Amino acid sequence: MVRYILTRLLGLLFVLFVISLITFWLMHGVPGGPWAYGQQLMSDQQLAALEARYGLDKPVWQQYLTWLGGVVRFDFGMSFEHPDESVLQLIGRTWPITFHLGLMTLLVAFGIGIPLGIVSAVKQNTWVDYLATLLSIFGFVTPHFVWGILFILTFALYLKWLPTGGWEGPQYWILPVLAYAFAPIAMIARYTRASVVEALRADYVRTARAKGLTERTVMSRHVLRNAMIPMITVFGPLVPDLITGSIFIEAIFRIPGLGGYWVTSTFDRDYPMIIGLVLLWAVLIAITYLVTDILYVFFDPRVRIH
Amino acid sequence: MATAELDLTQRPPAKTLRKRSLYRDAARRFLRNRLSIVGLVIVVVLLIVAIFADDWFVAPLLGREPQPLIAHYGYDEAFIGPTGGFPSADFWMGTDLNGRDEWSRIVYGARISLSIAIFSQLLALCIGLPMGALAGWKGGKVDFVIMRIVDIMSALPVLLLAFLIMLRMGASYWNVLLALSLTTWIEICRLTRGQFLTLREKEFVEASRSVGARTPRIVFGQILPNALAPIIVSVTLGVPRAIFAEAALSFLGVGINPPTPSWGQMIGREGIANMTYFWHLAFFPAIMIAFTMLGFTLVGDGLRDALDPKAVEGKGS
Amino acid sequence: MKRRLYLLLAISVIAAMVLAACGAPAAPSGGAAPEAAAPAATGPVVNRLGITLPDDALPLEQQVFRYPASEQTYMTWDASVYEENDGDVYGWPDSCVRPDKDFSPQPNVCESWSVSDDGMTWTFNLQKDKVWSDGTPVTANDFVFTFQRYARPDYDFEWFYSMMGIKNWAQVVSGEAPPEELGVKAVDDYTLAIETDYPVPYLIKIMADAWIVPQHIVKDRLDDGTWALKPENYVSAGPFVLESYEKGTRLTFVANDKYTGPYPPMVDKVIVEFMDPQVRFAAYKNGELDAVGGGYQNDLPPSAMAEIMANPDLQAELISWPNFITYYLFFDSWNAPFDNLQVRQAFSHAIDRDKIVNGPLQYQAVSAYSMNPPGFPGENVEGLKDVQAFDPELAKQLLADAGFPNGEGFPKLTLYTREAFPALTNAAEAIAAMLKENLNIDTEIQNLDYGSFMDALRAEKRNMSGDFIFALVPYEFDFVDGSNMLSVWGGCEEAGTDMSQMPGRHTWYNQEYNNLLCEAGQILNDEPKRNELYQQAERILVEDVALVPIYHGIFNALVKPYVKGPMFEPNSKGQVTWNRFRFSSRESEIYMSSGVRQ
Repeated sequence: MVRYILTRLLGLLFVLFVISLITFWLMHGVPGGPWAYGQQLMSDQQLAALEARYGLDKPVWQQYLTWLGGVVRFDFGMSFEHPDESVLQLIGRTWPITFHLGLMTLLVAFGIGIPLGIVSAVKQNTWVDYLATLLSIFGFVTPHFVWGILFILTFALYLKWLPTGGWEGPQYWILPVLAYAFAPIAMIARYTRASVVEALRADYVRTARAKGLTERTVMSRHVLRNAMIPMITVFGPLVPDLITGSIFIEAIFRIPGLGGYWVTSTFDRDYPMIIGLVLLWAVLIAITYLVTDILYVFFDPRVRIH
Repeated sequence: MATAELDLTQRPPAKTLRKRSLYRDAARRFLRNRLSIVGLVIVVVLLIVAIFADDWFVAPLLGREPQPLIAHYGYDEAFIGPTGGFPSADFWMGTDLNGRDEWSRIVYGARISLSIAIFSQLLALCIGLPMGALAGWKGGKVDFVIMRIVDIMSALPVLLLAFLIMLRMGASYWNVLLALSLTTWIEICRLTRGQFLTLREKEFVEASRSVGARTPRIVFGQILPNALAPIIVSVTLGVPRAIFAEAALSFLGVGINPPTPSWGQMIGREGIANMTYFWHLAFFPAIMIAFTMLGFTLVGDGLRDALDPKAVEGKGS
Repeated sequence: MKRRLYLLLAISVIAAMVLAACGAPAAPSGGAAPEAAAPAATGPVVNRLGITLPDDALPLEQQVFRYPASEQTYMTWDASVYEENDGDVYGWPDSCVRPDKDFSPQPNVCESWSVSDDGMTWTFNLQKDKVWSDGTPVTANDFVFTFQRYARPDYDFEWFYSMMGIKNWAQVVSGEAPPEELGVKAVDDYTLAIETDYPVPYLIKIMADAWIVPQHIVKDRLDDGTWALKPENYVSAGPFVLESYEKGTRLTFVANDKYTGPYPPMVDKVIVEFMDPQVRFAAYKNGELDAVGGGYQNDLPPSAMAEIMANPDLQAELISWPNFITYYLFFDSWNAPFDNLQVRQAFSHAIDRDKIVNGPLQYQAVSAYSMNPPGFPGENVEGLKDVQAFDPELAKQLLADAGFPNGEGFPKLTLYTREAFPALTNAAEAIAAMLKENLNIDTEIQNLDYGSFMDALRAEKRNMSGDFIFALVPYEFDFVDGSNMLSVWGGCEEAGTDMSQMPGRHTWYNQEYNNLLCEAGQILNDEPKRNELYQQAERILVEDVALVPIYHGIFNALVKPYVKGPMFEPNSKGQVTWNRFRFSSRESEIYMSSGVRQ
């Protein structure tokens, strides 16, 4: 097991290396630079001074080596957008907020999505099922920025129950979490239903029922446990997606998190931050897949790691 | 979604028989599913709207500019109605801030949004399918290399990557298409490889090989038809996701270039910004996106149930 | 296994319920919103500077003024002008002079000034009792240091100060001369002298943007600007001092009790909330902001304006006044097809500005036919109105004469915009529709982010690459003088200079125009004479169709009725303005009242 994990981590290092190369090449090809552009054109001299200030006057390969040299010492450089913070500090400041939002969203999404899926699977093809399906399709097909603005209009402006945005306490969490959770709830409910329906039809369930086990035991020990396996595959990728935030949700609800940086870092040509984010994402994805694979073993005795 | 009860042991081993009845069975099952039919109707209607927005197919023969058919006006004809007019008998979906007919823009927008979504999936298919097939069939070093590429691509954040590509190459129809397919082909590649890995070990492939069938014959004649089912499903379900992604890009200002309308751009630009008063500017394109997603999702679900009732849901995010 | 699963489910359901429970009526907070007019405090309200507020002032703890902004990178003007956080300019450093409501410079840190007879030496007498908030006196040396910092090559507003014509400016910027040789000198601690290479009649107007830097803290002339991001460094000489900077959330300023000068603060706190422009109007309506709009960003989009006009309460809170900004189309007049004057003229007559300002930009703009907007010094709005008047027939004729009858053979165009807000893209689409209808020319619109746009503009001028030939862009005034807005099209430069190095940002060149600007710059103490020359220059600009002006912007702002003060007194034109802090002393001239503003 340990050896397996170590091999995977070694593979990750390789992936990170290649990804940093690709990103470096891609981002330095985008026109413009991290400096502010005035209304008038820059003189050649000014442009040169700015390039030197940001260390962009050297060939790209040399910049890459400099950056790589820093990374070995766990120094990912200073952010251009917030020049008083290193990339690690900036992520360290903003990510906990986004993580908090993402975690709450995950809990709500699973808390509502899974029961909804199970109920509609058990009551397959009844009005409960159709209602749940309709609801989840509804959630699935509407972009979360539309939800966000609708919620602000309804709960803040019309009903005056909640503030329009900010991140100062529990009452500020509700709207963004709900807006953010809508699509995952829908997705989780859909896949849960499909997996449970699948498991309900399986031979071992028929056998279990035939043995005279109570419906409850059948459900928990046989149906749900087996339904978990395909669900892990689908739900795994949800986790890194949600905990890294959404620019839309965070902009609309004024959440000082990481979400916006996925876009503003490119707009501001904040090269150290872009590459920091790309690596963060890659690591999260790798961890997710690793955990997913380990969970397989946990839930499915047929899978063995070799 | 109600899947037919089916006895899987009936799958015939012989190739010709298997092929014909697999797809015929699937079609039968698909058509028996009420929800898939609803989905199919939605998709067909949307496609008709997109294709017959104007008479582009006869206009060149008559030597004139295309005239609107389903649309009432050209998508860029400005100031034919009031600024931000609400829906009325003349303008079914109201008019936008430039006094353009929202209905006509929705109709033309169908063409852009649907074509981007469908073509990006097909393009992803063109990259993902051969790569996956190669990896799954050849195995060994080829597999290793392709899978490492897939690993790397799937570890890149989609939005940021699409964004960098758009900033680097400039916003345009083709670049949106490219950015969207570059980020979706990996899934298709994974799926295809998985299918090939399983299928190449199957008895009927062994059998053909032992009687001396050549590789192309085995790959195209035997494995591919059997591997296609989950891939079709994945592509179908990818369409609504691509429409969504295009909307997100437009929301951030790097999508389709105006005045050409796409639904995502209609919501993302003037729609959201003016939602509090001119509600119709966001409402109608959002409804259209919702319908499209609904249609393709239902068709995708129906296809999945029909093509492989035993299959577990494919990976999606 | 079963237990574990149920436990997980139970936890998540409980979590969801707890969250929902928090949704029970919670007060929309965000500072004490003085919406419900509280009874006035007993006795007069005296703020921390000892200033007695008017009788209807709310208690001191409610003297909090909140407005929205977007978070940027730096905190000081000397670090970066374009990437500076809104709100800290006026709050923090204080400037030599301040513009009044009519933009005329008034004494501030510089109590008085004089200019020598040849117009090349300016002398400023500084306020003697001014200190930084750490107690260090503000002296002429701070000004000298400030200008030395502005004269560094990687400073993004360097071009602006170079317009002051300060002696040895270019040499200091390029490093050929040491900073001590700059023509800005401290005669003594409270006397500042500025020498220029040639007479600069408008120098005093630029001094409104001489925002002093604390030399005793920054020390290094070439500091990249990060010094001010450390809170302990952020000392103030202005009416307000930074209390806290919650990154990503807000800036909080409090009245500076060490402030001495002509603009003492009335409110106790100013809070700058960082918000996406899309949600500001909603936050304002929800009582989380005291003012919205009137800034760089489009806080009040067309739907907000329509809503305001349909609602008498909101309409009463609306303040509208013209901004000195011109949105115009420009061409690459050095490359085909726009090197042909007839083509440019055809474009200028093909666009119906009135439709645009009554359509997508309703309440936000007036039609433009000239570079200088109405009310700007040297403007000639009336005189130039007919040069590019809308005339589709004439436009068609001109295009045909240029060799493109009915647009045949004309290349498909891309109209570029720079970080366009939604309504600006609408305007661009309207232009495209008019070009299609009147000239039968196909145009698509491509929006570029600021960096890409300016990079392309620069490449076009430097290399004449010919792939960035048609764009819609604004220019907003930097200071109120006839020379300012015309400077994007050229400047005082001898004939024969490489065109790609000529002053101005566009691919258009006219030596006569440059000569006129040069000549006007020499005229001292006679603004009417100068403006006459600027009018001649502008006529060349418009007649040669260097640009097709589309509209001049109008500022709209909503300010809650309980905000009162001298800020709301009209200017000499009878306009009530809610100018951005840089162009007014806004935050010092308001207070929170229990009454209603008239």
